[in-house]
Amino acid sequence: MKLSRGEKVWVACMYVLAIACGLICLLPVLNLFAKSLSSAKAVASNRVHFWPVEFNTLGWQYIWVYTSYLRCLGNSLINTVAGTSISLGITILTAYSLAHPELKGRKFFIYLYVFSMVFTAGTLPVYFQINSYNLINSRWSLILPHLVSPYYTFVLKSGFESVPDSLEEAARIDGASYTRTLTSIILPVSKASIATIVIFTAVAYWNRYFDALLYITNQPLKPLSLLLYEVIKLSKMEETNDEIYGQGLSQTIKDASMVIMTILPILAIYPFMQRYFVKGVMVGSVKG
Amino acid sequence: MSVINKPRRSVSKRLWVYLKGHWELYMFLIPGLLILAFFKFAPMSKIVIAFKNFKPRRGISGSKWVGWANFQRIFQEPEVWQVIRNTLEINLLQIVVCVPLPMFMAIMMNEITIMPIKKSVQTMVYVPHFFTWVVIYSIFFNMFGGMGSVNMLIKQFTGNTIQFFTKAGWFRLMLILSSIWKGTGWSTIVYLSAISAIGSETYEAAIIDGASKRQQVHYITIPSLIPTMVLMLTVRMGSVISGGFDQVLAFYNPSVYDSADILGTFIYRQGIGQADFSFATAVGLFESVVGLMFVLLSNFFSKRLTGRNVW
Repeated sequence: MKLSRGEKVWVACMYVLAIACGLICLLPVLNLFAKSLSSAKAVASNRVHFWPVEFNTLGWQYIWVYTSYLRCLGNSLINTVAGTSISLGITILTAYSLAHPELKGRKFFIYLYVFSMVFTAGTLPVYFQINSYNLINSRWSLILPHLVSPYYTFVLKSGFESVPDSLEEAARIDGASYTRTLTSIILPVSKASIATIVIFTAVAYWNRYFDALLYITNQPLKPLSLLLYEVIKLSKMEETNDEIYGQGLSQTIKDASMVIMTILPILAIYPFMQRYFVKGVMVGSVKG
Repeated sequence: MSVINKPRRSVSKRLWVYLKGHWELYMFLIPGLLILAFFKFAPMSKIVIAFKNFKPRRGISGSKWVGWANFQRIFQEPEVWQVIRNTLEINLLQIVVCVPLPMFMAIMMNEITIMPIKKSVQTMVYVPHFFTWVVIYSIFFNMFGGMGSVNMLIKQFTGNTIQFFTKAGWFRLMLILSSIWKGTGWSTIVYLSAISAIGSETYEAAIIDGASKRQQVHYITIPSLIPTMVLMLTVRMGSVISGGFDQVLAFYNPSVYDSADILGTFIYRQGIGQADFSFATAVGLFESVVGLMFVLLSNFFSKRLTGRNVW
């Protein structure tokens, strides 16, 4: 297929635009990364662009030593792993059950889930409820309330429903229980949609900071997302001038280091999750 | 006797046979329902706080009933009206700007046929979706703050810097720009899969008729993406009251409370910060009920327009 001259220009414009979009997403992060590894002098005089100037790791060391970074990282890992795995178990069981038309009362259960999705009790009622369970300053206050996601339950349910009925029926006729059918037939063919849900649940657990802001006042239990919020927001309500911390370190460098050290774990697993994206975003095709 | 008993026995027997065959399905529902009961439905009982003058010392049952007084306060305090206005303005502005953009970006991406370039651009534009709002805020503050590179550039040309985070109008620009930065790339996925569903015959037929690339986009691609955009629009309309909380909480500061405070952040500061529990709960209930109406409305329209439920 031959392109006319005008079309060639048009396609070229698209390439330029696309690359520009990519750079707009990449460069600000790169800039922050470069600043986190540069000297305070270089940062203050705006010489740092996309590569560290007068390379040093003071900012990273500061976060490592003077904040409870490692501890918070551990907490985030525990919360994310525990929350995601329990949540996945619950979601699979619920979705599998709701995917069966022979389940009596199915409509009612589906409405329960829809209702919990569209109507929330509100911040304070949930806070008082968590308080009445004595979960304030407990890890579980960050894990338990988010174990059920009606939305992902419906995503997985429609994933299960797209498995041909004949597969499951054949097993059922041979006398396999529902449990057996689920583990040996449905789960193996649904790996992709399950992986998608794992990614999104895990990222949500990792990034959530408001719950911790409400429920966790006990330092040793703080997740990384809350540490980030405290470092960034509570020390920087107005636009501070640089160079408070003398020659070696400035607020900018500390903040940049904190941010980079928070997003590194996500960037590290990003390549592995990328191939599951497309399936996970087929939002509109979910039917109740 | 037997005439009366027979059908009864068979009903319970049928139930027995049914449960014997299907009990597992009910067992599977239990863990989810327990979490739902304890963490979604049980908190709803605490909504009574909105109808009381709640004092933590007296407990919920010991506090005095005040009827609708807290709700009357919602309509009397001008601050709340300002907050409601901010909520609607910020969310509507975001919807108008952020919903159509991914469609154009997807059309653009679709023209990229050199795979390594396409793959790396996609990798880069999807990443911001996975950052928490505090990270997005830091990245924007780094660019647009007093010492940020954008302000340095502005200073070179005008000699002044712009207070992007402390001036009302500029602050809203920050909210919009950061929403675009975080979400646009990610949202293209939906449109890209809609484009791939169009099918090459349609384009081939157009090419035979002599349509240029631009005409193909104008007469084939965009019209076939409009339904997807309408669906996205209605979905987003459902959160016009509840949307933006995490973002605003991460971005705002006392100097823009007037223009940036939305219902979620107002409830947080009023309830937790000022310990005005009953009033904040009332505002929260107001938010939930109005939010519910928007969700139902958006679902109604989505059903009407595309034949699909949002959920």
